[in-house]
Amino acid sequence: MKEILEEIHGSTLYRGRRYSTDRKVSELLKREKELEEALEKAVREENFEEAARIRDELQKLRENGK
Amino acid sequence: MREMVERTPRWLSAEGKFPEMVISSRARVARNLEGFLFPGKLDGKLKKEVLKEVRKAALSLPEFKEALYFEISELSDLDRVFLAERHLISLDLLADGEGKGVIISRDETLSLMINEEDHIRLQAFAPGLNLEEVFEKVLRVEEKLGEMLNYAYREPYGFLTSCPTNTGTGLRLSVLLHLAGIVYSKQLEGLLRNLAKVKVSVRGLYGEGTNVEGNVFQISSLLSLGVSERETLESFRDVVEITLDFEKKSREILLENMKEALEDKIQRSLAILSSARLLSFKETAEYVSAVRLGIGIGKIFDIKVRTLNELLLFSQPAHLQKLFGKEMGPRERDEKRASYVRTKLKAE
Repeated sequence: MKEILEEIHGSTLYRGRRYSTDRKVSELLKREKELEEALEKAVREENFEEAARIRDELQKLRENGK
Repeated sequence: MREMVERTPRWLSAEGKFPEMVISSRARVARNLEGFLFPGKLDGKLKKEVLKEVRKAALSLPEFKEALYFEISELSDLDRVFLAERHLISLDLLADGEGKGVIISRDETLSLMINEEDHIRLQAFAPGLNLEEVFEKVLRVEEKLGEMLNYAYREPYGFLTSCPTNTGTGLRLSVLLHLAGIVYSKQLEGLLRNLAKVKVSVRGLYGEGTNVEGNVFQISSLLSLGVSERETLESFRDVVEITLDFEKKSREILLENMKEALEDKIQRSLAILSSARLLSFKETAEYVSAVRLGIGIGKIFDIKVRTLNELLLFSQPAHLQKLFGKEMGPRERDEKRASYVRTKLKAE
């Protein structure tokens, strides 16, 4: 299966949005998505202080989520 | 369905960016439900269960308020083709309709096919070049559905799909492009060669396995693994823009090298559309394309792009038969098509 996917897409790495039907996990994923969007916006607006703050929060969230 | 017949779907309204070159933009996602085999392997009873579950979830969303719902097995052959001509269902859904259904939003900018190749095929449409809008819309609805339904999802692959070409994000973006300049200046092969390198597919008017009519091509993104949703959007947008630049350049070359011949072709096509007594769909599409190009290069002013979209839509066999309210053979259709086109152009 892996070979087929590799041949079609040139990659087997999923880089899309994550999904879970577990309510607790989906809340975390939602928050993660919000932060990712905010980070993108802060970088776009060159608001690097804010970006650094969001990045730290994201990192914390991801570590706790594991 | 009767009220759909005389209406032009919003995605053909010629609003939006570059409507003469970009007829419409589309985004779709493929999803499946956990705990059920893919539709191709699923028995009839369980298919109906999927149908019921997806339908219930979708109809609870504001995006599908007062939506139309059709069970394919209950539709006549003509009605099935009618929906396919409007791009609301695929040719795949239309064959062997058992346990298959489609939900269509009031303004026809969202359609959800159930038990096609995957349990869920959700599509958003917009007129002109508007990939951002369809991208946001399809993912918003997908997310809401995902809170009610249980999608088949496994890390590290992402969303599971019946065909490995969709595994991962299950997202595909596409546009319907009118590329008469590239075709007339005989540069199509060059374009196709370049597009093959950047992982997009080029198809005909109705997608996979269909012919190109009236110089309208469907270009769609291909990858769903190794790229995020947003990267898919950004890289596809670039490809479309490059293709449009190529089309614009081709038109300039045509105007420089064969201005008279080009103008003659455009005016002749308009004259035929305005006076012919018999027109096949293929011919109509070709002449409409020339007139469309005429608008694009500023040689025709008194015809709207929207009118040409409508001519194309209603010239299709099932639309024509629905419009005239009766079943017709090819010969009668050619006659009625010509009469419809004449009347429509006269009214401009």
